[in-house]
Amino acid sequence: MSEAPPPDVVVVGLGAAGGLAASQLAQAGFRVVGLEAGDWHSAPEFALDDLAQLSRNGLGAVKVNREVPTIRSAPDETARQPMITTASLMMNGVGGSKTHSTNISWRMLLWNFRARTSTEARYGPDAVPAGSTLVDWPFGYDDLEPYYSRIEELYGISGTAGNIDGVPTGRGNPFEGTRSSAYPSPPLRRSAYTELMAEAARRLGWAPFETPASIRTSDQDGKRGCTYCGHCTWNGCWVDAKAVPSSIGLPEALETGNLEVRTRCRVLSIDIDESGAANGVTYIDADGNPRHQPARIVILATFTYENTRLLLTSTSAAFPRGLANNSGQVGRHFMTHSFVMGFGLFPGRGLNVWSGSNAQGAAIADFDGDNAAHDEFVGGGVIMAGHEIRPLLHQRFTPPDVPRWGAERKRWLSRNLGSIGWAYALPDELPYEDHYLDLDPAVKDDMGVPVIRVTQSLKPNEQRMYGYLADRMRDWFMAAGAAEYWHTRLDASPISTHSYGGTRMGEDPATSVVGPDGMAHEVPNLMVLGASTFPTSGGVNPTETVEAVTLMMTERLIARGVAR
Amino acid sequence: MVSGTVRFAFAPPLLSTLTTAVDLIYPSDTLGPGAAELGVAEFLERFVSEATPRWRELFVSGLRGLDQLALERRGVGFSELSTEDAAALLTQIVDDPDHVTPEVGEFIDVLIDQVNEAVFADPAHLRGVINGGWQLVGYPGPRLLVTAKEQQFDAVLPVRGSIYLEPLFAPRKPA
Repeated sequence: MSEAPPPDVVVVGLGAAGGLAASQLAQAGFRVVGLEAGDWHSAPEFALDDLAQLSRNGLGAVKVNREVPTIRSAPDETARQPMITTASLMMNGVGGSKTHSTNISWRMLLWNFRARTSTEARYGPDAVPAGSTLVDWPFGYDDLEPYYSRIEELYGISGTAGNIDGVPTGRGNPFEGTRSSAYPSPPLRRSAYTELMAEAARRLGWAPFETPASIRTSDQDGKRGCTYCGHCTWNGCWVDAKAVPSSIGLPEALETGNLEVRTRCRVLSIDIDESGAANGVTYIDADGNPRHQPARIVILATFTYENTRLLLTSTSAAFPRGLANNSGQVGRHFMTHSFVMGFGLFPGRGLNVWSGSNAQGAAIADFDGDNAAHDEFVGGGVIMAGHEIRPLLHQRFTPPDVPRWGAERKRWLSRNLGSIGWAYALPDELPYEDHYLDLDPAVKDDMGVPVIRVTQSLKPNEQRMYGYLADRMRDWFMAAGAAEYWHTRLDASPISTHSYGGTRMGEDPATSVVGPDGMAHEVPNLMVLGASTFPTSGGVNPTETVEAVTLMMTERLIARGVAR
Repeated sequence: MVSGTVRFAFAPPLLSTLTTAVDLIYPSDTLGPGAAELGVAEFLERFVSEATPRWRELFVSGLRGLDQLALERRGVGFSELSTEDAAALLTQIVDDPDHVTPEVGEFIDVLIDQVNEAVFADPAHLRGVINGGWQLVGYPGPRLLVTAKEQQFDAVLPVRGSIYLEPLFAPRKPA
C-alpha cells in the first residue's frame, strides 16, 4: 500500500492572512491542509458581554491568553509579564482575529511604501532619526493597488472613494492613492456624533470622511448587515456582518475538496529536511497527540509575535538560532501602533455613542504619513472619532485629575461618562535597531515553550509624533464644542493588536527575512504572511494591507505552481 | 463518592478583607450600591478560582499583605479598620507604593482595575441586579438592534437587563 502524497501546502493559522491564502490556493487547485489553534466560532459564542469578551478575551482562552509576551524598554532590563485583562491581545479561531476586530479597513498611503526615500527627499539625508532601520518596501502602492481593489470586492468593503482612476470624487479620503474602483458597499450609518465631529473637522479646514470598514452595511444575498449593536470590537458579530474568512472564502474552498481544516491544532515547529528545505510542521492535535504534517510548501501565517516565536523555536543543526535566522534578522525591526486616545467632554449632553461600531466613524487623514508638512518628526497617522463607548472599558480613561477609586470617582462617572466623545490616532512607529522580539529566557507558556520577549521604548521621534496627533485631537474636540479635553498617556505599546515586523520583507537577505514574494531568503519553500512582514507600520489599521499582500503572494505562488 | 475538582476559595478572613477593599474602591452612597452589595467580592473570588495560579498567588499574597499592613500600622486586620482608617491606608498604598511590599502594591493596582471593570459587567456575572455601574452612568445595556433614532443626542433608551435574557445567548449564561 502506498503512502498518500503530502499536500501541496500546510498553512499555519487561518486568520486574515492564512485563511485567505488557504482559500485562494485551494480554489486554484492546490491541495491544502490548514492548521488552526482555535475552533470554528458561531453567533451563540458572541454574547454582548464586555466582561467575557473584552476584559477576559474569552475567544483567546485556548492559546493566546496563555502566552502573553514579556516586556521591557531596554536590553539591559529584566522583562516582566503584565497581568493583562482588558483585551489588547488577538484571539484564536478559524477566521482569526478578524472575527473580533473592529474591521476598519484602509489602504496605506503611497508614502508608507517609500517612507525612507520620501523623507530624505523632502527633509534631507539626516531626517530619519539615528538608530532607525527605516526602509522602503520592495514594491509600491501601484503594484498593490489591483490587490486592494480585489480584496475590497471580495469582502464587500464599505466606504466612500476619494477618487476613481485618479479623478477626485469630492468626497471620501482625498489623500488616498489612485483607485481603480469604488468601494462596493456604502459606508456605515452616520449619527449625531459622527456628524458633529465631521462638521467640526470641516471648520478646521480638514477633510473628514466616513471610516472605511470590512463590515456589510445592509442585508445582501441572504446575509445580514450591521445592526449597530455596539459590541463590534473584541467580539464576534452575532449577525456575521463582518467579512471574515470563516464565512467568506473558506466555506467555498472546503467545497472544492482541496482544503482540509483541522482545528485545535497547535504547531510547535516547522521542520526541515537534510537540504534545509521545509518539509512540514510538528503539531499537537485536538486530542493532545503529537503529529507531523508533511507538505511541499509551508505557509506561516499566525500573528506577529507567534510568527517570530515559531521561527525562533524551530532550531536545527542547519539553523541553530532558529529557522530562517542565520542572518539574525528574525525578530528585528519590531513596531506597534500605540492607540493614542483623545476624549472630549460635552457636559449635560447624552451623546448615545454606547452603541454602533468604532468603525462607524468620522475619519481624518490630513495628518497621516507626510500629508501635512512637519519637520519635527517622521511619520503620522489617521485620527478617527467613532462610536462604541464601552462603559466597562472607557471608565478607565478618566481625566488625570479624577481619582482611580472612591466616592469622588463614582460621582464623576455618574455625571460625565455618557457625555464623553472619543477619538484615537494610529501613529506610524518607526523601526529601530534596539526594538526587537526574542525568546524570554525565563517565562514559558503552559506548553513549556518560551514566550516572546518584547524590547521597545518610546523614542523622541514618536514622543513628538504622538504629542502632535494628541494636539490635533484637542483642536478637533474644541472645535466641536467640548468643554474639556484629555488624552491617554503617550507611551510605547509593546503588546498591541497592531504589531509589525519580526519577519521583515525586503530584497536584501542581510536586513530582511523574506523576499518580495513572501518566501524566506534562507528557506526556499517557506512563506511568511501577515503584518510581521511589513517594513513600515503605516498610520492606518493594517488588515486590508495584510490581505492585499497575501493575495499578491498567493497569486505569485499559484503562477509558479507546485512540482509534484 | 463523587470525585471532582475542588474549587479554590479564599479563607473567610481573606474574603472579608477583599470585601472591605472592593467597597472602598466603589463605595455605597446615594448614587447607588457599592461593590460589596453588587457581589463584586464573590465575583472576583470566582474569577480567581478559575484563573491561572499567577492570579491566585497575586490575590492571596496581596490580601495577606494588606492584613499584615493593617496589623502593623493599626493593630487590627484590614476588615476591622474603620472606613476612614481603611481609606487612609489604601490612599497611602496607591500614592506611595514604594513603601509597601511589591506584592501589595501590584495587588492593589490590579484590584482597582478589576473592581472598576466588574461594576460595569453584565449583571449575570454579579447578583443579577442592574443598579450598578450601568444605572450609575445611564448606560441602557446591550441590545441586538440599535436604530438611527437611538443614535441621536439625548435620545432616552429604556434600560435593558442581562444580554443572557436573549434566547440566542441564554444557554451560555455564566454559572
